Amino acid sequence: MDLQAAADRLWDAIGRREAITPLTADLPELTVDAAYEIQDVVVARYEAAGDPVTALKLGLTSRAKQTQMQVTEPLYGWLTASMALDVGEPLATDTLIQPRAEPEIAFLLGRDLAGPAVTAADVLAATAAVAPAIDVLDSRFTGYRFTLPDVAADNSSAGRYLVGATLRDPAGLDLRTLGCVFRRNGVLAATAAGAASLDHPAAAVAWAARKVSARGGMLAAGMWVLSGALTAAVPMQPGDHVTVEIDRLGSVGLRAT
Amino acid sequence: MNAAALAAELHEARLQRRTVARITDRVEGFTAADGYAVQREGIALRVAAGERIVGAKLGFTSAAMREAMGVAEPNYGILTDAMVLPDGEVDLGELIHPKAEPEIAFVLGSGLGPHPSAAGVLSATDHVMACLEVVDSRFDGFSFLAADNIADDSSAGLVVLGDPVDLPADLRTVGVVLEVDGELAATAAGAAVLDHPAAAVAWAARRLAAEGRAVEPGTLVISGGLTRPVDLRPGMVVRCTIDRVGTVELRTREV
Repeated sequence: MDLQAAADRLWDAIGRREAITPLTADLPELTVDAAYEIQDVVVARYEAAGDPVTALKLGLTSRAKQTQMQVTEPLYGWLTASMALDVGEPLATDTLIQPRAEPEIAFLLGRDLAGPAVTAADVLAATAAVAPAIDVLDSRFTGYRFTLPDVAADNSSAGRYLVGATLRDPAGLDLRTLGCVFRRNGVLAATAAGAASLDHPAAAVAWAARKVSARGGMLAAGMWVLSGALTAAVPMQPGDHVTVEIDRLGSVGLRAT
Repeated sequence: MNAAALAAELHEARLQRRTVARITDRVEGFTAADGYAVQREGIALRVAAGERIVGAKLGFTSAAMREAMGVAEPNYGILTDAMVLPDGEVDLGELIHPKAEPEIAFVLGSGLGPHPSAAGVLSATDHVMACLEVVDSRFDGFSFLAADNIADDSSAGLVVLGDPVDLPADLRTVGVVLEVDGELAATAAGAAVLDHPAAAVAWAARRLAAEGRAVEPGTLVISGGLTRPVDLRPGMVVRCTIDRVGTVELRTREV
């Protein structure tokens, strides 16, 4: 199986902003492990283009979504400097294929995290701050139709990300029961609590630390980790505006042009 | 439409733990207003049997539910003292096809005006509690239109309440975690109910006042399901945790 060719298809789709058919249509034997190797090739291309990794994101952290896709593990993908939006900066939808936004809790790591035994408590001890965040997905596959290996290869649909400028020390907070209110164009889109991501957002980050370690990497101090969607994603079209409010953490909004 | 006869039929169905056919399938043009007329007759039967009215419950408080049912506003039902369990032990033998859902319960103090807003409800709130409402429909297959549901007291069944706490700063953003047998079932935040649970209570208070039911100090109002309901089966533990409000648990048994 030609992993480079698969990575070429994805990289080309990102550059041309055109959706493609799932990789598994041509590579029915593609495993999740091989898919992460394709992801590595794609991420290396961002870095070779002078676009360093700045953050990690998790996908498939909702138990309901896992059941629906018949998987028991979440996914991770890498976010780079060019994917970062800042507070007040609009989302230019013409730079993406089919963007969707979802609310998350972001962790700023104060220490490196690696090893096979990282727990949620270790993550909290290593976290410098938490903040409300918006993950903007942009699947390279037409209509977000994909299997697990496809989306792993596609860098977990990483598109853009925005971390709100309200930092909180997680010490003394129970992230599991923090409420999340997600609005689109002023109308309530969904609500959730922190437990929606893998029972605890820090458990989701711990999973990522273990998984990245097992593949020879690590989560480095100074990196942000977006800990997984708390609600279903909503489409972002020009003129759309979403706001994410996380109880005790603050709020962050994003408008699309 | 014979409201008293329909109310008696639903009352008997509940006591005998059996279901009946939807009213809207049998009575042409049965409206929400007709539903409330049947509900009033049904509550009168319970009061005549010695039960005491303690408050109200809300239904259809989620926008998704209202859209699915094709209705523009929520509905309410009346709660009696017999519906409020003293502990979390739910006897499934007394119910038909019960489901549980997490809610925020309000107990109103004095000073609630005739046309309260959410802010008015908050200023008149004595305390709040985490709540698990056990809903149960007297209609076949738990299937009904809005007017049927109103006639059936908004599927009112039983209410389990947590410990009373002072009103937290913002009920809109409090997180809600629902667990079944220790496993995560659903999450939400307070805004899931009409954008703010106090807005739901205010809506109910205005409707009750319009119907000539005084909202006295001490009235209990449970403000509507925050997540989808879970079906109750024997030997189940359902736990609802609401940030800053507290925890409430129910256990099911069949005698």
